[in-house]
Amino acid sequence: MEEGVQAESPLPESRSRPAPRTFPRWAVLCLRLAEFWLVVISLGLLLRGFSKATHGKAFIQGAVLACILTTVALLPPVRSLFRKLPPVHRGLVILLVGLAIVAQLSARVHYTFPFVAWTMYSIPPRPMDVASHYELLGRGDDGTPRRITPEEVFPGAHMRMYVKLSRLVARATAPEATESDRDDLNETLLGLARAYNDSVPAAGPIRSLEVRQCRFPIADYERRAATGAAAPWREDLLERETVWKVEIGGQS
Amino acid sequence: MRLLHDRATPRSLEFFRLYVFAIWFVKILFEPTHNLAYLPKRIFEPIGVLRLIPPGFYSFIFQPAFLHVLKFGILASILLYCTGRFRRTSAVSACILLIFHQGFHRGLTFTNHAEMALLYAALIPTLFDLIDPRRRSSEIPSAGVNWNALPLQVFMTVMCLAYTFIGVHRLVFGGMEIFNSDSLRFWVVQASLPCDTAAFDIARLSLTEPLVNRVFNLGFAATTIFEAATLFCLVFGAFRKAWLIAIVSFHVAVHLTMKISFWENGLLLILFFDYHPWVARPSPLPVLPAPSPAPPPGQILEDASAMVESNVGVPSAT
Repeated sequence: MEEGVQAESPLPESRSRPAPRTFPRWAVLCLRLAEFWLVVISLGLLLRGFSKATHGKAFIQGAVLACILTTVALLPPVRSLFRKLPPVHRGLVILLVGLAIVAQLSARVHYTFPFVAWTMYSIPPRPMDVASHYELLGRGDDGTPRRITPEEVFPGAHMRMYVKLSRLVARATAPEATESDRDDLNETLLGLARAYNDSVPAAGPIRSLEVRQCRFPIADYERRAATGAAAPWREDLLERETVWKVEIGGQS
Repeated sequence: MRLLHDRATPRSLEFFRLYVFAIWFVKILFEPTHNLAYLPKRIFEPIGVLRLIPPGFYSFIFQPAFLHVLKFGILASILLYCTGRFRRTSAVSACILLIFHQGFHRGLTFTNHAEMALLYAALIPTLFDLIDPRRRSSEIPSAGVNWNALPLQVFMTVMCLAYTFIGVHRLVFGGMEIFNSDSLRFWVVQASLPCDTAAFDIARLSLTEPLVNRVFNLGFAATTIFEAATLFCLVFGAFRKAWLIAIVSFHVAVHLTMKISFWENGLLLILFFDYHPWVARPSPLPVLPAPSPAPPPGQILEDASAMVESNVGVPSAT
């Protein structure tokens, strides 16, 4: 009987049952973008650690990035391409972009490499009245000083090597330096000297390696320049002081 | 409004991959990788995927022989890729070895961003090659997607993101103070100190001429804004041209004043051009026309009626 009623029903199926509620496409898109940003920002901030004082700024950074990236993602050519991609490709794009953002927000390269944080030249340096850097001075058998740059030994990584050396020197010469800090610096300098001796044989081997701190008093120079007595650039005003020395001896 | 590289051809994608691997080849070839073995193990801090290596293996890694093998492994993988044999295997092995090489370098020294874009340029097209649907007969490629363009576009997104990160981070963390203070002047002086010769002695000028300092700060602010907006280069051609002028000038200025030059990133700026016509060659493969948008349902019915009429010769019943 019921079958007959159903068969005779003049109404199409879609009218007899309420249509499933569907969300407009833009709402689904917004929801997905919100999901993505929620996950990425939360993960970035969690990795960064809640004890950091810069946590608030990192959150603002995430919000600004969300605004820029969402605007670009909603542009017709980008949206259209993304819609046409198969799920695997879409997933890979989301993964790559997501990892890059997490690395940036967390600034914890130890976890996120090969994705890194791009944060260069962002924090005003303090103090700004004295600029300083370290230089390496090797001495051969005759005692003649010879400037050595990490570039000679590690041409592919000299900038990184220079930064690492500066950090090791700063740690080893700090008042609270431990024996381990001093050993780190000693062994690194010895390694660098040995590598130099093996790589640059024409210049002759070095027997000792010194680290000299060069300080340039910017404020002083400005004062003299203002009175018209500008000193010759750099060399005359650089204050040099040997802060560390290692003897290579017969180990090279 | 169209997406950068949407006219990429198989040849232009191949050109890009060879170009990137050639840069890596030259870079690795002239690098004495084995010198890293002189550095003490105690300063090594493994990063990222290198954290998975047990510390017991360090004594094995810190051997000149191992580092020689690593170097020649990278060079051999790239050469094999260039010869056209075992392309996917050689590209994957080159990428894995390069990630290890870069991670090892940075674990021993310090993590900066040099070479990172170049690493992504090798890695991203390789990843997309692994899941390229044209290589699997069981899958029907999605219509309307240029599979040659996709790896380039995704790489460009990641590269543009890096510039955006720099700009946004500086605006948020440095605020106005970084542009109003003497921060830039300090960095210029600091960076020029280790140099024997200053190209134009610009650091001195920034100390003695207030106008030079002001120009520096204005340029710094303008560059930062361009950096923050880099992602728009993906879509807007006019903005891309302005961006290129600003950023190339910035890279040149940084080289002159601070003696910092990331030539690897400079070489990748070619990707901000639609370079495909330069390397174009008539493709032997037929180019399928892009699918037209779906007609409305009423249109489909009319078309069907017309087809029936033409085939059967009688008006279709309605």
